[in-house]
Amino acid sequence: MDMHNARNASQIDEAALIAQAAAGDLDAFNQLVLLYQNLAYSVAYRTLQDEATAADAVQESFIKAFRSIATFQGGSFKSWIIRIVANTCYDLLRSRQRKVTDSLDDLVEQEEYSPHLEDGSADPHAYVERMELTELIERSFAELPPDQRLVLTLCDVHGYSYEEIAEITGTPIGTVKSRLNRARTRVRDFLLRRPELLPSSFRP
Amino acid sequence: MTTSRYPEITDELLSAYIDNAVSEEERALIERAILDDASVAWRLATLQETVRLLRNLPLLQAPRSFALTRDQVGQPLHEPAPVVGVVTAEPRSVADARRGTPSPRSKRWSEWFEGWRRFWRAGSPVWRNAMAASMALLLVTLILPTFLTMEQPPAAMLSDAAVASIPTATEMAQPAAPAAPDRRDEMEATDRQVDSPAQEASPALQPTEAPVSAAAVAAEAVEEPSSVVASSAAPNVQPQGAALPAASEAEGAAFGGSYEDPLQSMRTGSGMAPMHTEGSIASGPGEVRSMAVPPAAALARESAQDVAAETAPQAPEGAAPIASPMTAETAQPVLTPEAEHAPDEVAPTPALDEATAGAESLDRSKDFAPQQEATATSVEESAEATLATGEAQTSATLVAPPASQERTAVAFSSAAIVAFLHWLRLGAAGALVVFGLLWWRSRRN
Repeated sequence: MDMHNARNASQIDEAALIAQAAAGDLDAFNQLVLLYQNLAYSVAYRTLQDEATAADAVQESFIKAFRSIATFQGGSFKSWIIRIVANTCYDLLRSRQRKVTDSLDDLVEQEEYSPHLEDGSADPHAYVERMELTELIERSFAELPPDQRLVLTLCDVHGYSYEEIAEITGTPIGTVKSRLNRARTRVRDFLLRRPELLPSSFRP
Repeated sequence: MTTSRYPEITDELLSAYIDNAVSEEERALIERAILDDASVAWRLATLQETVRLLRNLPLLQAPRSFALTRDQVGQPLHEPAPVVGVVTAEPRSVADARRGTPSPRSKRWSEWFEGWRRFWRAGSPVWRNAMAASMALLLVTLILPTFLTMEQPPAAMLSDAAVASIPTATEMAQPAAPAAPDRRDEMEATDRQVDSPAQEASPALQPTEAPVSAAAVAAEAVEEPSSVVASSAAPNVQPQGAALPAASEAEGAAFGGSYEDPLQSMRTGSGMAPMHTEGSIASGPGEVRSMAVPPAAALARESAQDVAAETAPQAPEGAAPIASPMTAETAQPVLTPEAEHAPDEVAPTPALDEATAGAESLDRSKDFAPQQEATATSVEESAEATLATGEAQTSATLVAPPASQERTAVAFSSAAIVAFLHWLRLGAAGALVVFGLLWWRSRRN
């Protein structure tokens, strides 16, 4: 009962913040930004596979959202924000295809320590194994096409339903299913290259 | 490629099974295949483990706060948009003024400034910097000519700048006699400024020049060779001291009344070397001073000395007293009517008319003063000698004046600089416009 009331209260607060933001209240919109910036950055980073570009995409997405929040028709504000982030990521990917921005520094940076993957486990050995596995999974994202990356992130990492993903990406549900299946299969095949890091269930 | 007894069970179906997105029939088929076929079971298990690993991925933390600032969204400070349906009044009372509330005018200015600041910060910084660079270049090209003419005038102007304020003989002769002492003081001051070394070297001349009036100075301009004659005839008077002030006066006469900025003259298209033009126009005997072009001053002095050496025996003593009887009272009434009947065949410049009138006044003074016939004769001969000297100077000026060539080169380089600056200015202005348009376009994008 209390959780239900809290959820309703948060929804009411979110609706109020959206209304104030639609009226031009930047402070209210920034509260929404603080609510969803980690989600937005996570989606952007796993789609773009670059921290700086992901940060730019998120910032640009929030600016776009504030400028067009008056057109928000209701529904899930989270899905609306992630849709803007996804579209911004696609735009950046298209512009990146025109000019390759990879450099040797970026290649070296992939092997460095990533603070956002930090895990506060007590066992150092387990922590190291988990970090290696996590990095392996993160690296498997780079093997995927961007559309599969986005669908896999939205579905398996953030728990969106097929319908929500179809709405966010603007594609039919069948397309979402096929992209998700292909993405999962490719990630599994990628992980099988390093079986020593995988659980025993992976071994036939 | 392993063969399966359940080829209809694809990875896509297994993936949908993991997400509970299959029908009951598909679910039953998959569960039966898992029990019958190990490969199907392995495929499902690895996919489930993959999904589990993916779902256990941590939520990434944003590297920084993405909270928006008012600059980013182009919203002015302390001015939220009015809420829909809420009427916002804007009271403006004395109490507000006491509290320091900004007036609508200052608010409008601050909004204008804020809007311009946002406009300036928006858009592509590359175009903005390019536009600023072109604007700076345009300003430099607009200011540079002023500094060129003020701080680094051409070499020809450097020596003339101090002489430019010297009144000419015509200017000194035209005003009425009461003004003559002041003019005399000014002339002495400028003479000391220009030719102070020469005058310091010839102090003997100053006592003789002291009582001379303005008209006498004008007559002295015509009788300049006679002064040289006197100088050459009297050894106690230093010849250089007499010649150098005369040459300096000639310079002052040539440039004092007709000084023109060479850049300005080139802009108006009056020619590359206005000094040559003046020198070529002068053809009368009274134009000696006007024709005494500064570069040829030395040549003029030499030729004047040569002519004076030839005429010295004819008028050995009359030259010295010539100037002293020519007071303002006698010269002024003579000058004015004669100047009205000045010959037209000579170039109608005021200086030429005045000089011609001065020469004729000498002729008339011969009628009024018979005791000065010898002096008048010597004056005529001196005028002829002066004419010859003037022609010699003209020819010397037109044939091969080395300093004139330098001036021509300086004028040419100045013209080139002016033309270059003109085109540079046009280019910078064009670049400014283009960059501004591109910047505006990038801002709108």
